Amino acid sequence: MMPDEFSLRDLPEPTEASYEAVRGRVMVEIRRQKRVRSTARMVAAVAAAVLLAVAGLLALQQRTPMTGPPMLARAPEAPAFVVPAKAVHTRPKPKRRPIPLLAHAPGQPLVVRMQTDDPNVVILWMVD
Amino acid sequence: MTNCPSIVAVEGPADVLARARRGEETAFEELMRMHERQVLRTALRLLGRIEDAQDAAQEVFLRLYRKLSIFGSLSEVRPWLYRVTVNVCHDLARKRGRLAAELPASAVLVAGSQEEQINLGQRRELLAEALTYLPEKERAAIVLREIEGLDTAEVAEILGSTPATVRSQVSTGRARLREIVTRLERRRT
Repeated sequence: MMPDEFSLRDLPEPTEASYEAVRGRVMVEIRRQKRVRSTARMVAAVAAAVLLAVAGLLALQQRTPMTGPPMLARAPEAPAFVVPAKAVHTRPKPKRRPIPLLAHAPGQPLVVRMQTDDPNVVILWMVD
Repeated sequence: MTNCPSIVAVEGPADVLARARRGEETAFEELMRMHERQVLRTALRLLGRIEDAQDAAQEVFLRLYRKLSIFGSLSEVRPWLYRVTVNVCHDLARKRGRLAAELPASAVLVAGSQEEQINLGQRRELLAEALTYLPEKERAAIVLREIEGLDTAEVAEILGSTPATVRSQVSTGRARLREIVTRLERRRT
Protein backbone atom coordinates (compact mmCIF):
# COMPACT_ATOMS: atom_id res chain seq x y z
CA MET A 1 0.00 0.00 0.00
CA MET A 2 1.35 3.43 -0.95
CA PRO A 3 0.27 6.56 0.81
CA ASP A 4 -0.80 8.28 -2.37
CA GLU A 5 -2.88 11.46 -2.37
CA PHE A 6 -6.14 9.58 -2.79
CA SER A 7 -5.61 7.47 0.27
CA LEU A 8 -4.33 10.44 2.28
CA ARG A 9 -7.45 12.41 1.50
CA ASP A 10 -9.56 9.41 2.19
CA LEU A 11 -8.59 9.18 5.85
CA PRO A 12 -11.36 8.52 8.37
CA GLU A 13 -13.50 11.62 8.92
CA PRO A 14 -14.72 12.82 12.29
CA THR A 15 -18.33 11.86 12.88
CA GLU A 16 -21.18 14.37 12.87
CA ALA A 17 -21.51 13.82 16.61
CA SER A 18 -17.91 14.98 17.05
CA TYR A 19 -18.66 18.26 15.32
CA GLU A 20 -21.80 18.76 17.38
CA ALA A 21 -19.92 18.02 20.57
CA VAL A 22 -17.28 20.63 19.76
CA ARG A 23 -19.93 23.19 18.87
CA GLY A 24 -21.81 22.50 22.08
CA ARG A 25 -18.70 22.72 24.23
CA VAL A 26 -17.63 25.98 22.61
CA MET A 27 -21.03 27.60 23.09
CA VAL A 28 -21.23 26.49 26.71
CA GLU A 29 -17.78 27.94 27.35
CA ILE A 30 -18.65 31.19 25.59
CA ARG A 31 -21.79 31.59 27.68
CA ARG A 32 -19.85 30.83 30.85
CA GLN A 33 -17.19 33.38 29.93
CA LYS A 34 -19.90 35.95 29.18
CA ARG A 35 -21.43 35.39 32.60
CA VAL A 36 -18.04 35.67 34.28
CA ARG A 37 -17.27 38.84 32.34
CA SER A 38 -20.59 40.48 33.17
CA THR A 39 -20.20 39.57 36.85
CA ALA A 40 -16.65 40.90 36.84
CA ARG A 41 -17.86 44.09 35.16
CA MET A 42 -20.55 44.54 37.81
CA VAL A 43 -18.08 43.95 40.63
CA ALA A 44 -15.63 46.37 39.02
CA ALA A 45 -18.35 48.99 38.63
CA VAL A 46 -19.42 48.67 42.26
CA ALA A 47 -15.80 48.78 43.43
CA ALA A 48 -15.15 51.84 41.28
CA ALA A 49 -18.25 53.57 42.68
CA VAL A 50 -17.18 52.80 46.26
CA LEU A 51 -13.65 54.02 45.54
CA LEU A 52 -14.99 57.23 44.00
CA ALA A 53 -17.24 57.83 46.96
CA VAL A 54 -14.40 57.25 49.42
CA ALA A 55 -12.06 59.47 47.41
CA GLY A 56 -14.72 62.18 47.23
CA LEU A 57 -15.30 62.06 50.95
CA LEU A 58 -11.57 62.24 51.64
CA ALA A 59 -11.18 65.19 49.28
CA LEU A 60 -14.09 66.96 50.95
CA GLN A 61 -12.61 66.38 54.39
CA GLN A 62 -9.28 67.84 53.32
CA ARG A 63 -10.89 70.98 51.95
CA THR A 64 -13.08 71.86 54.97
CA PRO A 65 -11.44 72.99 58.24
CA MET A 66 -11.47 70.47 61.01
CA THR A 67 -13.32 72.83 63.43
CA GLY A 68 -16.74 71.92 62.22
CA PRO A 69 -19.25 72.30 59.50
CA PRO A 70 -19.08 75.34 57.24
CA MET A 71 -20.58 78.47 58.75
CA LEU A 72 -23.60 79.61 56.87
CA ALA A 73 -24.18 82.92 58.69
CA ARG A 74 -21.90 84.87 60.92
CA ALA A 75 -23.36 86.47 64.00
CA PRO A 76 -22.52 90.14 64.44
CA GLU A 77 -19.55 90.66 66.65
CA ALA A 78 -20.37 91.25 70.23
CA PRO A 79 -19.24 94.64 71.56
CA ALA A 80 -16.20 94.57 73.71
CA PHE A 81 -17.16 93.91 77.27
CA VAL A 82 -16.48 96.96 79.31
CA VAL A 83 -16.80 96.83 83.01
CA PRO A 84 -19.02 99.76 83.82
CA ALA A 85 -17.67 102.10 86.35
CA LYS A 86 -19.59 101.98 89.53
CA ALA A 87 -22.07 104.74 89.42
CA VAL A 88 -21.99 106.91 92.46
CA HIS A 89 -25.36 108.14 93.20
CA THR A 90 -24.50 110.00 96.38
CA ARG A 91 -25.59 113.57 96.59
CA PRO A 92 -22.67 115.88 96.58
CA LYS A 93 -22.11 117.10 99.96
CA PRO A 94 -22.56 120.85 100.35
CA LYS A 95 -19.28 122.52 100.55
CA ARG A 96 -18.74 124.02 103.86
CA ARG A 97 -16.83 127.11 104.22
CA PRO A 98 -14.05 126.65 106.54
CA ILE A 99 -15.15 128.12 109.73
CA PRO A 100 -12.53 128.84 112.18
CA LEU A 101 -13.32 127.00 115.26
CA LEU A 102 -11.92 129.68 117.42
CA ALA A 103 -12.62 133.18 116.29
CA HIS A 104 -10.38 135.11 118.48
CA ALA A 105 -9.47 138.74 118.27
CA PRO A 106 -7.10 140.22 120.75
CA GLY A 107 -8.89 142.08 123.45
CA GLN A 108 -12.18 140.40 122.71
CA PRO A 109 -13.64 137.38 124.41
CA LEU A 110 -13.11 134.02 122.76
CA VAL A 111 -16.35 132.97 121.12
CA VAL A 112 -16.83 129.40 120.18
CA ARG A 113 -19.49 128.99 117.62
CA MET A 114 -20.96 125.55 117.49
CA GLN A 115 -22.94 124.63 114.49
CA THR A 116 -25.61 122.03 114.67
CA ASP A 117 -27.26 119.96 112.07
CA ASP A 118 -29.97 122.45 111.85
CA PRO A 119 -28.53 125.44 110.10
CA ASN A 120 -30.95 127.65 111.90
CA VAL A 121 -29.53 126.68 115.26
CA VAL A 122 -26.10 127.91 116.12
CA ILE A 123 -24.66 127.64 119.54
CA LEU A 124 -22.35 130.38 120.49
CA TRP A 125 -20.17 129.75 123.45
CA MET A 126 -18.32 132.66 124.78
CA VAL A 127 -15.32 131.94 126.85
CA ASP A 128 -14.37 134.65 129.12
CA MET B 1 -50.21 53.29 -7.75
CA THR B 2 -47.21 51.18 -8.37
CA ASN B 3 -46.34 47.99 -6.65
CA CYS B 4 -43.02 48.13 -4.90
CA PRO B 5 -41.12 44.89 -5.16
CA SER B 6 -40.39 43.51 -1.76
CA ILE B 7 -36.74 43.62 -0.92
CA VAL B 8 -35.45 40.44 0.58
CA ALA B 9 -32.25 40.82 2.50
CA VAL B 10 -29.92 38.03 1.60
CA GLU B 11 -27.62 37.19 4.42
CA GLY B 12 -24.10 36.67 3.15
CA PRO B 13 -21.08 35.24 4.92
CA ALA B 14 -19.81 38.76 5.58
CA ASP B 15 -22.97 39.45 7.56
CA VAL B 16 -22.29 36.39 9.65
CA LEU B 17 -18.91 37.78 10.62
CA ALA B 18 -20.36 41.20 11.39
CA ARG B 19 -23.18 39.74 13.45
CA ALA B 20 -20.82 37.44 15.31
CA ARG B 21 -18.63 40.44 16.06
CA ARG B 22 -21.65 42.21 17.51
CA GLY B 23 -22.05 39.31 19.92
CA GLU B 24 -24.81 37.31 18.27
CA GLU B 25 -24.37 33.73 19.42
CA THR B 26 -26.29 32.24 16.50
CA ALA B 27 -24.00 34.03 14.05
CA PHE B 28 -20.92 32.69 15.77
CA GLU B 29 -22.40 29.20 15.75
CA GLU B 30 -22.94 29.62 12.02
CA LEU B 31 -19.35 30.73 11.61
CA MET B 32 -18.25 27.62 13.47
CA ARG B 33 -20.31 25.39 11.20
CA MET B 34 -18.62 26.99 8.20
CA HIS B 35 -15.16 26.08 9.47
CA GLU B 36 -15.62 23.13 11.81
CA ARG B 37 -14.66 20.50 9.24
CA GLN B 38 -11.46 22.33 8.42
CA VAL B 39 -10.49 22.71 12.08
CA LEU B 40 -11.52 19.36 13.53
CA ARG B 41 -10.23 17.33 10.59
CA THR B 42 -6.84 19.07 10.61
CA ALA B 43 -6.59 18.64 14.37
CA LEU B 44 -7.47 14.95 14.05
CA ARG B 45 -4.78 14.41 11.39
CA LEU B 46 -2.22 16.22 13.50
CA LEU B 47 -3.06 14.64 16.84
CA GLY B 48 -4.36 11.21 15.84
CA ARG B 49 -7.01 10.96 18.56
CA ILE B 50 -10.51 12.37 18.23
CA GLU B 51 -10.65 13.35 21.93
CA ASP B 52 -7.48 15.42 21.58
CA ALA B 53 -8.71 16.86 18.28
CA GLN B 54 -11.97 17.95 19.90
CA ASP B 55 -10.10 19.66 22.73
CA ALA B 56 -7.90 21.43 20.19
CA ALA B 57 -10.88 22.47 18.04
CA GLN B 58 -12.64 23.85 21.10
CA GLU B 59 -9.63 25.96 21.98
CA VAL B 60 -9.28 27.15 18.37
CA PHE B 61 -12.89 28.32 18.20
CA LEU B 62 -12.67 30.03 21.58
CA ARG B 63 -9.63 31.92 20.31
CA LEU B 64 -11.59 32.81 17.18
CA TYR B 65 -14.40 34.18 19.34
CA ARG B 66 -11.98 36.35 21.28
CA LYS B 67 -10.27 37.62 18.10
CA LEU B 68 -13.32 38.30 15.93
CA SER B 69 -12.52 42.00 15.84
CA ILE B 70 -9.23 41.50 13.97
CA PHE B 71 -10.85 40.16 10.81
CA GLY B 72 -11.73 42.58 8.08
CA SER B 73 -13.38 39.95 5.90
CA LEU B 74 -14.39 36.33 6.09
CA SER B 75 -11.60 35.28 3.72
CA GLU B 76 -9.07 36.13 6.43
CA VAL B 77 -10.60 33.62 8.83
CA ARG B 78 -9.64 30.42 7.01
CA PRO B 79 -5.82 30.83 6.93
CA TRP B 80 -5.89 32.21 10.45
CA LEU B 81 -7.77 29.12 11.61
CA TYR B 82 -5.22 26.82 9.98
CA ARG B 83 -2.35 28.66 11.66
CA VAL B 84 -4.01 28.61 15.07
CA THR B 85 -5.02 24.96 14.69
CA VAL B 86 -1.42 23.95 13.99
CA ASN B 87 -0.20 25.98 16.98
CA VAL B 88 -2.86 24.69 19.35
CA CYS B 89 -2.23 21.09 18.28
CA HIS B 90 1.50 21.58 18.83
CA ASP B 91 0.89 22.99 22.35
CA LEU B 92 -1.59 20.25 23.19
CA ALA B 93 0.69 17.48 21.94
CA ARG B 94 3.61 18.89 23.91
CA LYS B 95 1.47 19.21 27.04
CA ARG B 96 0.26 15.64 26.72
CA GLY B 97 3.66 14.26 25.72
CA ARG B 98 2.53 13.20 22.25
CA LEU B 99 4.71 15.26 19.95
CA ALA B 100 5.59 12.20 17.88
CA ALA B 101 4.66 8.64 18.67
CA GLU B 102 7.41 6.06 18.83
CA LEU B 103 7.09 3.37 16.21
CA PRO B 104 6.96 0.05 18.07
CA ALA B 105 10.11 -2.00 17.55
CA SER B 106 8.01 -5.11 16.94
CA ALA B 107 6.71 -3.54 13.75
CA VAL B 108 10.11 -3.91 12.17
CA LEU B 109 10.60 -7.46 13.29
CA VAL B 110 7.33 -8.99 12.21
CA ALA B 111 7.23 -9.67 8.50
CA GLY B 112 4.02 -10.54 6.76
CA SER B 113 2.94 -11.65 3.35
CA GLN B 114 -0.81 -11.05 3.55
CA GLU B 115 -0.90 -7.33 2.72
CA GLU B 116 -3.65 -7.90 0.20
CA GLN B 117 -5.95 -9.05 3.00
CA ILE B 118 -6.02 -5.61 4.53
CA ASN B 119 -9.25 -4.03 3.44
CA LEU B 120 -9.80 -0.37 2.65
CA GLY B 121 -11.08 0.55 6.10
CA GLN B 122 -8.06 -0.99 7.71
CA ARG B 123 -5.80 0.84 5.27
CA ARG B 124 -7.33 4.16 6.25
CA GLU B 125 -6.81 3.39 9.91
CA LEU B 126 -3.28 2.30 9.20
CA LEU B 127 -2.51 5.50 7.34
CA ALA B 128 -4.02 7.62 10.08
CA GLU B 129 -1.88 5.78 12.61
CA ALA B 130 1.20 6.14 10.43
CA LEU B 131 0.71 9.91 10.36
CA THR B 132 1.13 10.08 14.14
CA TYR B 133 4.62 8.56 13.82
CA LEU B 134 5.83 11.34 11.54
CA PRO B 135 7.92 14.17 13.00
CA GLU B 136 5.69 17.10 13.87
CA LYS B 137 6.77 19.53 11.14
CA GLU B 138 6.64 16.95 8.38
CA ARG B 139 3.24 15.84 9.61
CA ALA B 140 1.90 19.42 9.54
CA ALA B 141 3.28 19.98 6.03
CA ILE B 142 1.76 16.68 4.76
CA VAL B 143 -1.60 17.36 6.39
CA LEU B 144 -1.91 20.90 5.05
CA ARG B 145 -0.43 20.25 1.60
CA GLU B 146 -1.56 16.71 0.80
CA ILE B 147 -4.74 16.28 2.82
CA GLU B 148 -6.16 19.82 3.09
CA GLY B 149 -4.96 20.65 -0.40
CA LEU B 150 -3.41 24.05 0.33
CA ASP B 151 -0.73 25.28 -2.02
CA THR B 152 2.88 25.33 -0.95
CA ALA B 153 2.99 29.10 -0.39
CA GLU B 154 -0.06 28.96 1.88
CA VAL B 155 1.42 26.09 3.87
CA ALA B 156 4.70 27.98 4.18
CA GLU B 157 2.89 31.03 5.50
CA ILE B 158 0.88 28.99 8.00
CA LEU B 159 3.93 27.12 9.26
CA GLY B 160 6.13 30.21 9.23
CA SER B 161 8.69 28.74 6.85
CA THR B 162 9.62 28.99 3.17
CA PRO B 163 8.00 27.18 0.23
CA ALA B 164 11.28 25.34 -0.38
CA THR B 165 11.28 24.03 3.17
CA VAL B 166 7.68 22.94 2.83
CA ARG B 167 8.41 21.10 -0.41
CA SER B 168 11.32 19.34 1.27
CA GLN B 169 9.23 18.45 4.33
CA VAL B 170 6.43 17.08 2.17
CA SER B 171 8.81 15.00 0.11
CA THR B 172 10.64 13.60 3.15
CA GLY B 173 7.37 13.09 4.95
CA ARG B 174 5.85 11.08 2.12
CA ALA B 175 8.88 8.80 1.94
CA ARG B 176 8.88 8.31 5.67
CA LEU B 177 5.13 7.68 5.69
CA ARG B 178 5.49 5.01 3.05
CA GLU B 179 8.11 3.30 5.17
CA ILE B 180 6.01 3.52 8.34
CA VAL B 181 2.92 2.16 6.59
CA THR B 182 4.91 -0.82 5.34
CA ARG B 183 6.16 -1.54 8.84
CA LEU B 184 2.69 -1.23 10.34
CA GLU B 185 1.23 -3.56 7.70
CA ARG B 186 3.83 -6.14 8.54
CA ARG B 187 3.04 -5.83 12.21
CA ARG B 188 -0.65 -6.40 11.61
CA THR B 189 -0.21 -9.38 9.35
